[in-house]
Amino acid sequence: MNEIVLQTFDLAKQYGPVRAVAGIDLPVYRGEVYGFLGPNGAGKTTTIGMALGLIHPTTGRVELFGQPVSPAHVTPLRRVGALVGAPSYVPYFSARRNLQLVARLYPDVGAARIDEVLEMVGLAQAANRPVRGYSMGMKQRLGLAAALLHKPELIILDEPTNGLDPAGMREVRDLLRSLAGGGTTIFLSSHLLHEVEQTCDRVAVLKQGQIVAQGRVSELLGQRQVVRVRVPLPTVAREALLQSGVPADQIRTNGSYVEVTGLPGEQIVERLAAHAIYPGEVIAQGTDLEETFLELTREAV
Amino acid sequence: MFMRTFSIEQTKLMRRALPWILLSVLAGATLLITGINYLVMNNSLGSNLGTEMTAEVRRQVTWPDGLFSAISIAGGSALGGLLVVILSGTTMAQEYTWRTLQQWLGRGVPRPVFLAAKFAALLLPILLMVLVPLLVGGLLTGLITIGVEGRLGAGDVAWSSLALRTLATAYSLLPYAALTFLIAVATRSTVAAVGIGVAYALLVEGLVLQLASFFSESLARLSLYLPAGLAQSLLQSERLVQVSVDGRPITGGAELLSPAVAVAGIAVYTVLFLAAAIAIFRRQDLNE
Repeated sequence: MNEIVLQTFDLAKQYGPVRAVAGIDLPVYRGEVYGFLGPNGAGKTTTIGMALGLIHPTTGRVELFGQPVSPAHVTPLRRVGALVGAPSYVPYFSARRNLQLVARLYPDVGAARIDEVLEMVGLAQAANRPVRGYSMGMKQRLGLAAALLHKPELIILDEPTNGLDPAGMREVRDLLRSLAGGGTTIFLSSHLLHEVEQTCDRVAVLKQGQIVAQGRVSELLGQRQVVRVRVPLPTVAREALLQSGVPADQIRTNGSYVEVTGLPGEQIVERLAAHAIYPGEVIAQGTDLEETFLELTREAV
Repeated sequence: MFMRTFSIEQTKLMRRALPWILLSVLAGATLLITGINYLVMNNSLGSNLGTEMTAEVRRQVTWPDGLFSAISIAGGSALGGLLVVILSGTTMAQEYTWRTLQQWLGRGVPRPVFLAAKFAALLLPILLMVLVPLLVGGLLTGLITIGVEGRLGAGDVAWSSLALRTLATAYSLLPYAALTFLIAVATRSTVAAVGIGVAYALLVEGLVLQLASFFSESLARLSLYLPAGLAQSLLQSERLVQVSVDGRPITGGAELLSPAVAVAGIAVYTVLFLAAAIAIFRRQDLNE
């Protein structure tokens, strides 16, 4: 992890009495795939809108490539490609004509690149038809093509697989992996948690405008992993763990088992052994991002 | 960045059906009005005009005055103003509806540049809105002239005045375009922009100009500083306008403003409306 390409500093947005985003600090490093998760209304799209200079922050600021970004300062956005919400297009133009219009903003983008991105997103065959006749999935692919057109250093995607069938989702996932492998930084907001789990390096979980968890996917999953330890006297084992510094809210007794959250099995066994308690069985219960996400967003902020 | 954005907006505008539909309406209206005037001139509609009125109508459908009459169809208080309002309001407000604003602004196009480029792209169709009646009306009145007088009389046409009048007519439409632009940005609604714009151009200004003269000459003079009054001063310079009600002239009508004042006034209105639109646009949050 080196250069930070997207960073927010205490970023907040208030609409009257409604706090849409409340003091977000997040860094996105060059070359990583960063997942942005949260239930509907959590503030994901508002945060992305502020990062793209489309929404005025109430407080705080956003920086892209080390430069401030706001509706009044948009120069850094030239290095960004974005697909936010429903894709934007001119409905009476074809996909190719839409991309030709976008390409006029970038002197380095020519016809060959337009053909290339149309091929990448699977729209080459339908490229010359008016977009108004496209399906939702096709429009989504066009939005993705427009985001990729000028080979941006940072790609911001809000629900990129929206409207796509499973094959299309797989194609987009593979495409994102390929782009990330080539050094492009990707900031991805999605409800498809298994997609995020497979694609992202780090994630932030947003609830009611606040980040409730942030870090590497493996760390986040590890923190929520439950290890079940079978011991002769669970209450004694619980006391031993408390004395060794494990927080009370991470320990639960369940019959002849003690269940510990957020610690690897080896550490639990080690701490119990220090108190002459030797478990008969240690079971690490795997958790996935969806379970972690649901737990985090259920908890009070 | 401005030129690239202008190029994009020009292409978007000129390759859609709307401006061409509006130009077709103008062409059709020009044909219709000129045709009806021709029929009136010939008493073909059963209208029994006096000699003086018949001569007046004849002048309007033959060269050289027929050319100037054709342009007047595109004027601000006539069909041209209405169609400019529709074009300006629709092209700006639909950017909100289609969410295409996010596409350009999210790519680093500054908001003032975008808005200025979008308005600048309207200049060509506005000019076409004057040229089309000129060409269509000019052609038809030319044919009528040959039929009535046996000759075209192109030598009688003050071509430089015609060119100037054409440009002046297009120029006088700018405040209406800018005002509708402003309303579109403020309301983000095509219906509101076009509705308010049309109401202003066709009703409000006309009413104010009419009613002002009832109260005092000072008010009548003040009303000349509205866009419609400025357009009148620009397009009818050196002629005393007689404000009338129900076709009966009111004596002591306000003398027109000088062309220089009219030009400056139109520029001020256009710039002020655009500046207000930019100020509002800069403050807007462009959410989903």
